[in-house]
Order: sequence, then C-alpha cells, then structure tokens
Amino acid sequence: MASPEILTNAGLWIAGYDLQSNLNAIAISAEAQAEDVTTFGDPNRTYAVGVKRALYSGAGLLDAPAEAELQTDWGLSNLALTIAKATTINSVAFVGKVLLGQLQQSRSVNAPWTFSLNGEMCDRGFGRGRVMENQAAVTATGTGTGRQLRAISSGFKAFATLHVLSVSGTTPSLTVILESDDNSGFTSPATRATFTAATLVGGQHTSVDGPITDDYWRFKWTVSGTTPSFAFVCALGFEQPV
Amino acid sequence: MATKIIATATRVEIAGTALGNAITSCDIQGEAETKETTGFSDTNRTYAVGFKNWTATLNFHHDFTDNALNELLFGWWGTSQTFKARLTGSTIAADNPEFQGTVIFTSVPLFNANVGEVSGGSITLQGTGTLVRAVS
Repeated sequence: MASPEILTNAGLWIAGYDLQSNLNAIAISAEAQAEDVTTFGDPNRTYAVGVKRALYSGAGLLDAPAEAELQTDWGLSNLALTIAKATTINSVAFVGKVLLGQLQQSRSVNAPWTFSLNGEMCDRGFGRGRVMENQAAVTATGTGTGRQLRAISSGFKAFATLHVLSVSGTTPSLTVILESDDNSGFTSPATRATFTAATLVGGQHTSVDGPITDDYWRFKWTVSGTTPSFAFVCALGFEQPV
Repeated sequence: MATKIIATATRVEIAGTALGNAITSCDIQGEAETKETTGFSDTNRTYAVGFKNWTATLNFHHDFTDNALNELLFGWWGTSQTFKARLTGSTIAADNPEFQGTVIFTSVPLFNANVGEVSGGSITLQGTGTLVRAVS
C-alpha cells in the first residue's frame, strides 16, 4: 500500500543558504535521451538509452537575504545542492553539484515578491540518499549518527554535500569527514571523504568511488577556534538506489 | 450493449514489481507513422503505414518509504524495464487483456513538493519494440 504524502517540511539548501522558508514549490526532473536504433526488419520503433541529466527548479517568496544569495549564485556552476523530503535527519534527500542557470523575480503592486529558479546538475554527481546531519549550533568536535544505507558497487559513486549556514567566533574552523564501516558500532571506520576546512558560510560537494562493501555511513567533524559555532547540513546520496 | 467499465483496480507492473495504488492513472498510446505516397495523377492524398510507436503515461503519488516508488523510480531512470498493465489484477483473459512491452525511463519526476499538495507527478515511458496485447 503506497503512502502518499503532502510534503510540508521539504527543504532546499544551495551553497551556504537554506531556502526552505522562501520556497513553496520544489521539483527535480531526471531525463534520459532515448536514441532511435530502429533498423530494417524491425516492426516497431526501437530505442536505446542515451545520456542522462537531471534538472531542478524551485519557486516561492523572496526576501532581501535570499535575493542577495541567489543573485550571487546565479550563473555559477559547481554549487552544492541538497533537496530533501524534509529537513529532519534521515529524511530522503537528493544531492548534486549544480549550476543556477535561471533566476526570475517578480514585483507587482500589492503582490508578494516572488521568484523562481531553474538549473541543472553540472555533471554525474547526482544521487539519492539521506539528510545525515542538520546541526543548528555546533561548538565542539563531534560524531554524527551512523546509518545503514548501502554499499557502493564497482563503477558507481556516492556524493556528499556540506552546507555551512552560519559561522561565528574568532578564527573558527570546521572540518567534516565522511566515514564508512561494516557494522553499526563503527568499530573499524574508514575515512572516505574529507571536506576542505570551512571558515566561512558556503557549500561543498564531494564524491566517493566504489567499490566499497561497507554499508554504514556517518559524518564526523572537528571544530577549532575561539568560541566557534557553526550551523551546517550534511547529506549523502548514491548513484544506486537506497 | 457495451459494458461500461470504471477502472478501479488497474494493475501496473514494472520490472516485475506491481506498483499498487501509487499509480492513479495509466494511459497507453499507440501510434502508427503515416508516410505520404501521393504522386502525380493521384486525385487524393495517399499514405502508407510506417513504423509503430507507443508510449505509456502514468500518473502517480510519490512514496518515499524505503524500497517504495520514489526509490524505484530513481533506480529505473535511464534504463529499459519490462512493462505490463491490465484492467484489473484478475487473471489475464479476453476481457482483461494485459499490455506487455519494454519501456525506457526518459523523463522521471524524482521530486515534487508543492505547498499543500500531495507529492506526485506524471511520467511518460517510451515504449521500445513491440507492444503485446496478451489475452491469456
């Protein structure tokens, strides 16, 4: 029995910005070309799968901070993007490295200031997985919860995003790593990816090559500085279904 | 007198997985290409039949439960899969034919969130090769 849902808490993070409270519509469309390979002797048209691509879009209500962020991001590529069914930890999420190609805003008398955005994944780095961390105020080094997701087969990849949403303190620094293990206790963790140390608001995207037989995953973070505090989101997606 | 049918229990199966009530409608569209063969001295336009082509369009509700439709769609994106659809889940018969073929997932709405609306979408599957209408 299917479980249809009204997604009342969907989220979208792009680079170092949380757009949830601005958006009222979010979509991802995954495309694949069907190339005609019909030959003599075929009674029907036949097709083969060509190149894949994924596009995203959003629409909603604009305010000054969001407008400033989106104007900065507009026309840029390799922006870390996470779109989630809900902003809560362990919710289904899609991660990617995107370009923000189209940004439209509309101002009319006595009407909300609205906007829409459209873009596309820059490359293969698009996956489906989970929101792994959504931390509002991290002030010390820590370890996230490990989750059993999946292994990575040979020839496939996983992709991780880090969105640093706020930074405070004196010379604050946040370094996040992705670990895997073959057990829930993480008794023999292996570091699979390390994000560049974050000292400012911003986003990062990284990839992990298969094969990896471990199917438990978690993030860890190291914080340094004087009275540092960070708000950040981490998500992990896979090219294979999970 | 024709029997009037309301489709309340149509069965749609992809890659061996019955999609159940995640599917809200299923349309199968068959086309046959018509190529003009009109020539001098013809008084009317004339045509010859070319290749047949077909698509299946499904409207669906997303289901984000583990191993459910959203995860399946992500896995099927950009692949060819077997497709079957029949009016009801009862045995295939003359009055319950099953359409069978192979489809390519060319455009998949992986995520749709609109405030206050049920998450879902419409997907058109490109049929490749022959569409079979099985009656047994």
